[in-house]
Amino acid sequence: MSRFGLIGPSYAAQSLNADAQATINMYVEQNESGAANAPLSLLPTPGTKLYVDLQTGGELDGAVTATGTAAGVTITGTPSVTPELAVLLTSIVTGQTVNAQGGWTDPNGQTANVINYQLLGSGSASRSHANLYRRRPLRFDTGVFQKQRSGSGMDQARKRQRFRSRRPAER
Amino acid sequence: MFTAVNLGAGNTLILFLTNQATGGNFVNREVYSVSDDQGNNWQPVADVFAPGANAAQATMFYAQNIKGGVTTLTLHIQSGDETSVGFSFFAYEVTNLSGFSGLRVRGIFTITGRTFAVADNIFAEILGNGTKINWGGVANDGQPVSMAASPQQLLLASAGTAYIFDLMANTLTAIPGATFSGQVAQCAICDDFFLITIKNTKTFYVSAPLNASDWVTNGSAIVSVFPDNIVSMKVVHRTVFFASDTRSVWYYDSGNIFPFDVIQGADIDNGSAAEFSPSLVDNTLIWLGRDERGQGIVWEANGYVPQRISNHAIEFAIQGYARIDDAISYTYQDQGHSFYVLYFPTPSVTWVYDTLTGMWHQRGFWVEAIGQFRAHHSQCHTFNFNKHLVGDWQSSKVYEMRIPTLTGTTWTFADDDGNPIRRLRRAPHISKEQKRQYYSELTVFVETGLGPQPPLLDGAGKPRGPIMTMRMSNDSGHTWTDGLDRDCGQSGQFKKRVRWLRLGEARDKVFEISMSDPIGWRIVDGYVEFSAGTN
Repeated sequence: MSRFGLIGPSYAAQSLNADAQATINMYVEQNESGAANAPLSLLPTPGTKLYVDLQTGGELDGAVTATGTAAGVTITGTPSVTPELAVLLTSIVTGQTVNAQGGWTDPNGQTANVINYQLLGSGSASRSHANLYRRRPLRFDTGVFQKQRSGSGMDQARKRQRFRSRRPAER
Repeated sequence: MFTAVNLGAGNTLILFLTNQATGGNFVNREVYSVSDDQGNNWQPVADVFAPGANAAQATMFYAQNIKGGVTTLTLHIQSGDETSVGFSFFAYEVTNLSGFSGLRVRGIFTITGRTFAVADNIFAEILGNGTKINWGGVANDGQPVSMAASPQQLLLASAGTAYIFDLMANTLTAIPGATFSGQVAQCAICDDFFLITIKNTKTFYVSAPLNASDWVTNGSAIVSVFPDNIVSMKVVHRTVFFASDTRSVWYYDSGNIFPFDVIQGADIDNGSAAEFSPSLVDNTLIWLGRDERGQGIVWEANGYVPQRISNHAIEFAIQGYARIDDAISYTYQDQGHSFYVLYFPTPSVTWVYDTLTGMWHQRGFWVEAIGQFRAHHSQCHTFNFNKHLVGDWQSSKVYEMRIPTLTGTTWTFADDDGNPIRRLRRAPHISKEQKRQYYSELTVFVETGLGPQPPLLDGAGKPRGPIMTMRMSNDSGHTWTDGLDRDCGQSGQFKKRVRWLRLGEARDKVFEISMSDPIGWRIVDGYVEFSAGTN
């Protein structure tokens, strides 16, 4: 069998007939030992994992308030969106324009069109003081936010752990 | 839930919560999060406050490139001090929305072991434990910020304004705009002098030594050796690189009353096509070029002489983009390779140059819903805490970036924060004077047996190894066959061979392989068996 240049860089020429090579999310490494199975290898580019989200936490909100607005939206014409939403967009959607059809002109100059709009409803929910860190999911269904059953797997595991910790040490 | 609505794949969902309709209590968006049954990626955008209020009136979330179909949204509420919440819930499906401006990490920088980043208008310090401290707000134009620092002061240029962060007192102060003759563009430091360029001018300012508060002692000068305005500034080798959009020049610290002067002979007839394209790597500078004759060549400074490092294929791609003056670069070193990463926001493409091999490759974020690559989710980089940290161009997230790592039988960093990384290699043409050739076998020599434990599962729930898909073109890469999958071995199946048989005939054949399973794919070589025809 013949080696045919599987390992290599991106090179897609003007004419695909001349060269159509592509290398995406891989990179070429030379095997420097001089005695490797092949002179070059194709290796995976790095993956990513969230380290920190700079926008979480209350201080950002202070920053937004301090600048007076999170935005610079211009509303032209009479938006077909609800007055509430128009107010929201004025303050929220940065650098975008709501046009008479309820669309946006985004920062790259593309016109975005609203093709579906629904007022999904309104709701309220009681919340517990008991655990400041546990998130309680509310699932929207038929116009009412319903609190899902508590007792997730994690909660059960915590309960079991708590129960175990009360048991006397085994001898 | 969109009742009886089939959402379009690739569209954007925008979700608003407001207390206006109900008059109920409402709290800020960190209390809420949104998810859906399609696994779309929901981002909080902003809160809206009434003057003097300490609780938001409304908040907004969005999910881009949605998967489509009937989608059920779930709102999660974190327990807090309030006893109840009440709100209205609006949702919009939007087409053709390419992005929200102001949602990006605009810069990240490390000095004396401390890392700072700017996302939107937030100036924050990132800590070694994956948390952060917000130190204040800065002006935001959605463009990258530049930062430079001494051990005492960090100078930051953002949206036309310069700021000083006192690294001892941890205070952020804006330098009054009247200090300078116009809007601040970029900043740097050379020989303990801070430097600032002014937008749309030839002017640059030099601070007093180690004092970013004093711009009077040394004052300003103009770059007189080129006729255009300064586009980019970068400090390299104790010299200052100034580039207009047609020419470039290097200055040095001459020790005179005004510290910086032109290096004789260090001026070239190549400028910078994008303000934030120059980056330092391997003790030199790489940038995206432009001059009076054209643009779109990537240059590397060899001394004071530009050396072309792009090739015709890269230049053909770059010069086909609608806009390149917004390109942003960063550099980093990993596994002995120094990479110049060049991100083009307008076409959403990332090209990477490996200075070690002189080869280019592309990096991309695969969007399954639309079947296309978008740019890799990074536009700035720093190294600290023994980690490569990159800032996202589409969110306020800072990611740790690392090559896929196998610990026992578990892979980490084999995906993009939970999203599969699609890897693709399209090989060179196989042809011999365009004569017909008959292909009996293709073998890809890939390191097999690297499947995770517990194993991946196929559609029937049975264990499988990572899959490599091959497709081929018999017309020089214009059209392609359907993909043919091969199992690359569950954990420990190191003898597994990956090959395809009876591959037909062609005058000009191109093979392409792709992989998406979350392992560290290492391809050693590829071989093909064929016999030549006579016509």
